[in-house]
Amino acid sequence: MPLRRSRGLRVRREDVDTTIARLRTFIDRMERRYECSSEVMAAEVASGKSRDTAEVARWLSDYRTLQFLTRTGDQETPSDTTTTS
Amino acid sequence: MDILYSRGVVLADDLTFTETTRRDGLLELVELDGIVYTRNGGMLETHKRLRVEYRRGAPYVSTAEYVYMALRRAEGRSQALFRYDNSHGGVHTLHRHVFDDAGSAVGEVPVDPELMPYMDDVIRATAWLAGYLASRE
Repeated sequence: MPLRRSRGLRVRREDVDTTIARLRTFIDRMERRYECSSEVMAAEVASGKSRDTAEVARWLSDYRTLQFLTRTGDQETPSDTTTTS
Repeated sequence: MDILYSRGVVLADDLTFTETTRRDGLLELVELDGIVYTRNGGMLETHKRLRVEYRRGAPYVSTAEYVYMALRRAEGRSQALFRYDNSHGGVHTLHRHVFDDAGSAVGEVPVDPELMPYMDDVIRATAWLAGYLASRE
């Protein structure tokens, strides 16, 4: 990714299926690297059994984001825009 | 960010916003990723997730995930300065990791989400701490 040395935001847009696929790719890579499921790592970090390094923090952040997108996608219907929680 | 550039606090960045839309076209998630390079050799790795929820059709945006990792380049390597994250799950678990002058982790301090510094302040802190440590070498 090129460095910017002036002002101006970079914005890109993608649909939810693309985001879910991207998050799954990263999460799968972390699970293979640590030989541990995201559920187990989240529980170990919460209990203090595992350290939350910067990489683990990012992993669990993406894991929770994936859960959020999957959950809201299940609830979403074309006519319902009242809630996503 | 414009002010930080104009004052020389930020030298470069590769921050990118990624906006995710639902199948019905509504905005659902905003991700902010990238590195901010500050004066004094500071770097702030940014990984932030903002969720958009709709209540009676009105969008509400809130930050759900934080990872701000502050580093500095010193003697050809990266040294940890501090990190904010909520890796234990939920914004209420937000905390700050503290590192000593050598970059070793020494503990973590809870952070009230209401008192979480704005990103500009985190960038300023990165630049200042990187400069402070450089001045002690």
